[in-house]
Amino acid sequence: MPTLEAAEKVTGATRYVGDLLVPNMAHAKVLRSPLPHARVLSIDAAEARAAPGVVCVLTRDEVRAAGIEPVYGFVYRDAPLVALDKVRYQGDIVAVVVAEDAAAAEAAAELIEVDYEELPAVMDVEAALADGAPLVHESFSPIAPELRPIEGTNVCHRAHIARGDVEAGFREAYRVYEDTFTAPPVQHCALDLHACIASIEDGAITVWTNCQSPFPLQRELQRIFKMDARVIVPYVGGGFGSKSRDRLECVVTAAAQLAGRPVRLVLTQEETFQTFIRPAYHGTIKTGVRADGTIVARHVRFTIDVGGYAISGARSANNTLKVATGPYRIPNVLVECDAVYTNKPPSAPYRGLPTTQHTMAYETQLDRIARDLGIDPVELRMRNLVVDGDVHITGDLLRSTHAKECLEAAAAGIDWGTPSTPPETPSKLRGKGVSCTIKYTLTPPTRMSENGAAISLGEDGIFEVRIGTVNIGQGSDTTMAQFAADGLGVGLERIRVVHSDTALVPVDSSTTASRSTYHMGNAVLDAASKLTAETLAVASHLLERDAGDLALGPDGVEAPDGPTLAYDELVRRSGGPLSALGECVVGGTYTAPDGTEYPIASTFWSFASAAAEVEVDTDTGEVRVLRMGAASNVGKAVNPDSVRTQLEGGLGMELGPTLFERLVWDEGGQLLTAALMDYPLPTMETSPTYRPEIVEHPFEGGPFGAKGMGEIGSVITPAAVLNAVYDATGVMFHEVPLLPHKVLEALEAL
Amino acid sequence: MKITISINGKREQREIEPSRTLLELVREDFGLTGTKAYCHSGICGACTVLLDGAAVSSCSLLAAQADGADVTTIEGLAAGTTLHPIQQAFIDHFGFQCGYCTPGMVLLTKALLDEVPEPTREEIVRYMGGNICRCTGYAGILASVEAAAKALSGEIPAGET
Amino acid sequence: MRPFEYLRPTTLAEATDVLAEHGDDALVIAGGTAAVVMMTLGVLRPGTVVDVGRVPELGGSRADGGVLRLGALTTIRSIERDPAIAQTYGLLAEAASQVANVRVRNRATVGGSVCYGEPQTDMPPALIAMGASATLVSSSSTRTVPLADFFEGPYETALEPGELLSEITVPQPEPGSEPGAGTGGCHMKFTIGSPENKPVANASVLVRLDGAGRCVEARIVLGALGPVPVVAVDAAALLDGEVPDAKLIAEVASRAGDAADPADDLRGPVWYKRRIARVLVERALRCALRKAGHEVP
Ligand SMILES: Cc1cc2nc3c(=O)[nH]c(=O)nc-3n(C[C@H](O)[C@H](O)[C@H](O)COP(=O)(O)OP(=O)(O)OC[C@H]3O[C@@H](n4cnc5c(N)ncnc54)[C@H](O)[C@@H]3O)c2cc1C
Repeated sequence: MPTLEAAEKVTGATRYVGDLLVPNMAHAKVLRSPLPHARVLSIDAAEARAAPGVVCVLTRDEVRAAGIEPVYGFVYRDAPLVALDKVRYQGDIVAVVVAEDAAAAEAAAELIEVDYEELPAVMDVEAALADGAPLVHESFSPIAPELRPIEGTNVCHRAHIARGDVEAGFREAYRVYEDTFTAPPVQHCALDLHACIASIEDGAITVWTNCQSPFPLQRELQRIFKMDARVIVPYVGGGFGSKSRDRLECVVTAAAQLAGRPVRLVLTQEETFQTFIRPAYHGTIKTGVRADGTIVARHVRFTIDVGGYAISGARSANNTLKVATGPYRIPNVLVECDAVYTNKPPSAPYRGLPTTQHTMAYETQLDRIARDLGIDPVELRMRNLVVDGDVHITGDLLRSTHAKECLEAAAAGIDWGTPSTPPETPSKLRGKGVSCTIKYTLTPPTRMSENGAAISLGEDGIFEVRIGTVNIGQGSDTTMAQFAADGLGVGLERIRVVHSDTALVPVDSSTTASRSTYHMGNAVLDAASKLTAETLAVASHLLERDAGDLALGPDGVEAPDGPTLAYDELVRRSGGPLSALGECVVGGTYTAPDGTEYPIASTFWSFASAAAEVEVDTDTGEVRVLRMGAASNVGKAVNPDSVRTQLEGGLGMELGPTLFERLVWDEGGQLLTAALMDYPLPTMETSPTYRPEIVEHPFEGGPFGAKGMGEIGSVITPAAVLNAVYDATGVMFHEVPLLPHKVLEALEAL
Repeated sequence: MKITISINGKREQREIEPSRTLLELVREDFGLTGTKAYCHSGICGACTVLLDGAAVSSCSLLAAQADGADVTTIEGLAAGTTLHPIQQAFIDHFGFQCGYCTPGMVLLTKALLDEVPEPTREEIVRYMGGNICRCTGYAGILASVEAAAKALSGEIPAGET
Repeated sequence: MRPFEYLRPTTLAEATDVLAEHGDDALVIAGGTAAVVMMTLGVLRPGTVVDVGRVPELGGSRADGGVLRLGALTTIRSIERDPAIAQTYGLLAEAASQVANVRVRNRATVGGSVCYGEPQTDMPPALIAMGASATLVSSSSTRTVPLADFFEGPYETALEPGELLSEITVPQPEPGSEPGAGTGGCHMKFTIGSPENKPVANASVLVRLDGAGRCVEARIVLGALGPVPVVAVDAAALLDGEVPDAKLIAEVASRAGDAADPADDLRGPVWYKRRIARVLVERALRCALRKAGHEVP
């Protein structure tokens, strides 16, 4: 079924943040650092302040004078509102000019004179880890307790996870394989540009933004400005992780405070590339197998380039430790990671990152093993995939896996087992590949109530569902309305959804990591059941009937024989709206059969597979993806069409980083792929046909059996494509993107 | 300078700065925010409008260049509350998720079907290839355009795409 | 975008007069597809913008007396769609159809596409292969420059301050005089990712055969492989008087690759671009020969 807001969207009526106007609003432009690493010696903004139309200029001097907290960050408090002592990447925020219109602000920003002392920059992880490397940050400021920086280095988080004895495993193996993997940074390219409006009135802040985490942002605003704050997130035109954390809101609020009026900032596409990027990933993977292909040991080491600020990057590295060894039953595993500061823009999650890169690593290696041992790639996976009752690397007891079913369904989507139809010329080669993955969802280390949803029945007889979930295109309003309607037993036309306004909805952590359907869904169902009870209790009183005899009907509370008490009338007679707050409790520990207590690493685990058929032009090295199959175990598909679209979207989007997207900096730290003209994105012309399949097995604990799947499509893409290229050409690539010149080079080295 | 422009069938006069783009004029002066901005360089197609019936990027056109022209934005497509068959097809065939590229996609489809009422799949892909969508992977958009072509050529009744 | 004075002349004389008056500070815009973007980015900051989009003398296209006259304002889209052009000047239509996306083609003009001087564009190689010339007018002079001599470097052309390109003339390819003889043209490009991104290379090939399948004339022009379009004279000369076979085609392609003068950039290293030049020339040459009536197995 189409989303509730569908008609609004096709008529252009939907308002995104960039479409909002606030009375008396001024416009901001950010002055950015031209250098990747430098000390800021002096800033002279006098001329800019005097320029026509300029309201004010925010620099470190104004920030200090305002007495606000000058540094922010979610897991690391390491990002200054505007540069204090140093700039840490090309594009770092140095000053903000506020003017009557955007053009005046832009013109004035050029009048600011900044004196820099250039410092040596570390543009990649290798340079940042070298002995005596310049330090991006001289000291560390982690807030999240699980982060472990290494003093005196650029490593802002070092972590590992293990089970069994990996060295013993390698000793008992028939063969051991080791490979190195690389994926460069890319940007999310959500078309809805980062934007926000900040206003301070009567000692309270209001921010309109397209940030995916309104409540953490609210807390950060309150901490920095020591004022009440309200965050409103209207519809968001895609984020894919680039908006998972705030970056501009606190800065713009400081500008609004200085200006004494509302201030609006909308970035350009080039500036979004200087705001959040998907980090570079490097890793090695070593796997030991028995002669029959059974995996006995796996050791994964990887680094993540978090960029100049670890606002959120360090934590995503940590989370993916849990999935680095894949959806396989492996007795001996060890995963180690370093999250490293460099002079690149800050990193952010990207539709499942870095599960995507891990999957690329273990799945391409598996195909190499398959060929070496003479086992069919699907068969080799079948021998190793986890099943219900297996224990994961984290200690979690896996349930509702269905990983094998996903693989079979995905492979069938490209007619696995039958050879490709021959291409039109002999210089082209075709091949097929598959991939499997496992993914976690963000889960707190201790048992807690994480998400709230409220439902109230108002005087208009409408059930208003209030949720923190940001509607970013995934159709969350619709899913939650369906849950509420089903939970209450009323029709969708009785439901209205209010989303992501911190003043109106209960606290929610964020709309990330495929978590909303499960968590918010459960909270909505909980609220629905509480409100049902309350409504029936009130009706029972008004009708003088036993509550047990009553039920919610389409238009009011119904008694078996008697009249219906209309909802609006019920509310009027009861003296005011009825309301209930629902919650979803997650996290905590469980007890393993041997009595050990394990913290639950993930509330649910997602499983999925992809299959790709490609054509490689051996004259040019060009790879075209012809068709893709995919299957995901989503628990119960609440809205199957949405699930399919979401899967196709993930597959299609990730083809960009697989085939041609990458960010490139020159030696001086200047971004060369700054504009779309030099940064190709997938289009309809480069897109294959898809066969997405839903593997449905209701998940116990999920709302109507659903679990999340927002990001799974992208995670499985690169591995399937690389394996298909291997099948077609015999060349295995351990890196993306598959730039044609690299493909050609490898083909000729055969 | 003063320009006269017909926006969605209504003739309007405006005094403008010559340095303003058609995109800025439409969004800021006329408040028609269905036309979106992203790349500001003619690539992504979020700002697509119809200029005398032809699809153009409103970001890379001065408003002054459109003086005297007929401009159609997404707001001008539906007849009152009745959706245009192309809009209905995009809903029925899941031609969008976040909706940000949708106004441009719908208008580009309109330009295509006005020119080529019964396009082949190759023609659709070539014509629509310029506009970027980040959510759908394009399968739903392709299906929407094909359905819209059928609906408009009377092969199936509008509303049952 | 920075403010500027906007002038919209309505005659050619008026246009050249205002250009003469404003000199270097004036920027001509036609379709605006490139110029407006560069102003938005702040790369161009003219004091005066001269919009020549409504100068009637610059519009219109017609084929007469064995010459195709394309007014500077002729859009790329109309070149792509004009059946008369497709029939006799197929190479131009083919190149036009590969420019950017339909939104750009609807606005972009042929004058703009050459005056822009960007090395990666499609129209210059095709126009050069067809032997086209540009007519340049100023308030005091009119001159004609073969397009092969028009490009001087990236974004640099033979246009002098105060000059406008008014028209591009393309001689009609000589039809084959003997039975079975024919002319064929083909334009190909190779782009990583979506077609509106800058290509690794493009190539235009035009061949004319006599009744015996011998090549009487051949032109090969490469784009994106140097600061200006590369006319691969030596490579084309290999075809003179020959009946092309697979071996000769490969030799021609290889020689054309040697003529390329590419730079190492985001779109690939030098060796790769030369390789792509070879592949494109080989493919385009085969395609042009096929259109001329000579299929090479
Ligand atoms: C997104 C995008 C993708 C593109 N992809 C391609 C592609 O694939 N292939 C390709 O070939 N090109 C491509 N281009 C370039 C395109 O061809 C040019 O933008 C277009 O041809 C310029 O024509 P215009 O009329 O819009 O010129 P304008 O933008 O108006 O002007 C361009 C330049 O030419 C000068 N000029 C224009 N007309 C005249 C004249 N009559 N006399 C003197 N000077 C003049 C202007 O002063 C300016 O410097 C692309 C452009 C964009 C924006």
